[in-house]
Amino acid sequence: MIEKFAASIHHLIRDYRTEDGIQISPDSIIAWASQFGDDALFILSELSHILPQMYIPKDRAKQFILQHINWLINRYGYRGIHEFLSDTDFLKIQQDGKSQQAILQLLEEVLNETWQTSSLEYCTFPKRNFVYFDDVLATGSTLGRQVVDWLNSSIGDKKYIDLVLNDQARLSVNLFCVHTWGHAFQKYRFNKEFNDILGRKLIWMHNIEIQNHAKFTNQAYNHAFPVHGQPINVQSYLANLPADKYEDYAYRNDALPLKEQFFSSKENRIKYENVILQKGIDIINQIRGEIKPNIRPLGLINPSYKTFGLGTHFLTWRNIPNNCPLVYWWEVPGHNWLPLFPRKILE
Amino acid sequence: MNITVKTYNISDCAVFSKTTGAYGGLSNMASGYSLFVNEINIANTEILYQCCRFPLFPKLQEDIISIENPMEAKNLARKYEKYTRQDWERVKVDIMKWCLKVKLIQNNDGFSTLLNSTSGKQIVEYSTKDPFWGALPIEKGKLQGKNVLGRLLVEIRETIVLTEQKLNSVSPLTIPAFLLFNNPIETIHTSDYIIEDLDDVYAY
Repeated sequence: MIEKFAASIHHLIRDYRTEDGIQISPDSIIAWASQFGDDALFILSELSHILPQMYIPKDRAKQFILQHINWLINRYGYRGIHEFLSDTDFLKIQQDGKSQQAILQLLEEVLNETWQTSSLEYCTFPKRNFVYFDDVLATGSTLGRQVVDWLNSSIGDKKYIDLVLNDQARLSVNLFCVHTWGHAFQKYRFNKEFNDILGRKLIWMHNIEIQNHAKFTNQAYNHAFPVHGQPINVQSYLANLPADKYEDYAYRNDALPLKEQFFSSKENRIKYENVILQKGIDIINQIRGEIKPNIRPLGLINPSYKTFGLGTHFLTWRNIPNNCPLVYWWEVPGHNWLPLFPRKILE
Repeated sequence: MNITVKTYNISDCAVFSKTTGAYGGLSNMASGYSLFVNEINIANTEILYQCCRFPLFPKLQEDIISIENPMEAKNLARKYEKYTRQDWERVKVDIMKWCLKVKLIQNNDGFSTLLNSTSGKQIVEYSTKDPFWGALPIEKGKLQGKNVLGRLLVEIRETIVLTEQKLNSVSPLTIPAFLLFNNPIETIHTSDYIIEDLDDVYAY
């Protein structure tokens, strides 16, 4: 049975970081699962259920990009791709090697395959559409800062924010995945930075939504979000965190979501979350010396947040976000842990 | 608060009626004073106030918040008036005062500057219909009403803004069922508390 699940998982994630020479195999998947002891079979079974919802292979990423291009063409009322590209600048703001660069390279493949064109053919045209592409908005602080900085930057004697407010420019943020909690914070940031006047002039588009806002209505909680009733060591871990914000987001109300659609069942969700939470704490306990304050068992988060981490369950062929639970990507020499998805780390 | 009817000389007061004009920002419907309650973006104080009427109806609260236009939100609330919390008449002034403190803490620069500019004057909401929250014209140059909104604004100006008290947080009211989307409304914080980018400081 374990081999069957490993084979099925391998088939789905087979293109993960192959461009970097990483080769995940059914054996490496089994080796990873074995680290969960008696829960190995359960973990693989549940993972094979949720992985199709959380893993974006390269081909699907290209479909997402195509979807974004068509959304934008429609939204802005263009007749076709060439008029759209003439007017559009795909922002290159992120550091080299980050996801934005990879997405823009994929965009060129999509433009070539679908329309036999390239955005480079339209470089010299004056632009009125500006597109910020990224794979995931988790807490959104990087995206938020970069977009604010871009809007406050100048072109000639004007700032981009002035052009957007006067409808001389249009800005969209195009994401594969958005977390609803982080999204709320970034909308607040833009409201405060620009005195509420940016509003709907900033267009948001996304393919997947991770509904993790514990104070919204009808959230699907398609991430790892543990419930109360944890063992003492888990409760102590949380209590001892030198953090003081948003402790009311640490635990999920176990009556929610109303209908379980991400995990295979309500009961399996609780079991899976508890296992990876406990293992994440075990991983952290192996750290010698300073434990960086943003490390949490369910993924990295703002160090001032008193939670177990975002519990993100989203990754692409290119890399796994560090907001995902540690059990998936933690890889430190000398630590007794094999990752399932070795993470790309920029120098 | 001793709420009695008063008569105001317009020339002696900081009067606001719409969201425009020198004192337009004092209106609950004014834009540019958005709020963040339970980590939910709320476009203006009017919408927050109307949400507080319907703590047991999260779907209605959601509809009010998503409208964003304060007048439309008020009209929607009127349409569903029968779902108002039963103790509304007893708690609405405390709720309004709380809403104004939330407006202040999350828009401190703009709102405290505006309140400061009214210093020494009574603040009066000019209304043609509402003698409770505002004051109605009775003769040329004079308004009459309980003007509760104006009085609350003066109270906040005198006790917080002019004393240069730094409001670091606004506690929730202790009234029963003080809820937003079925969750207890939590302490409200400043913008600096909310937008604190430490994510990359310790990047792994």
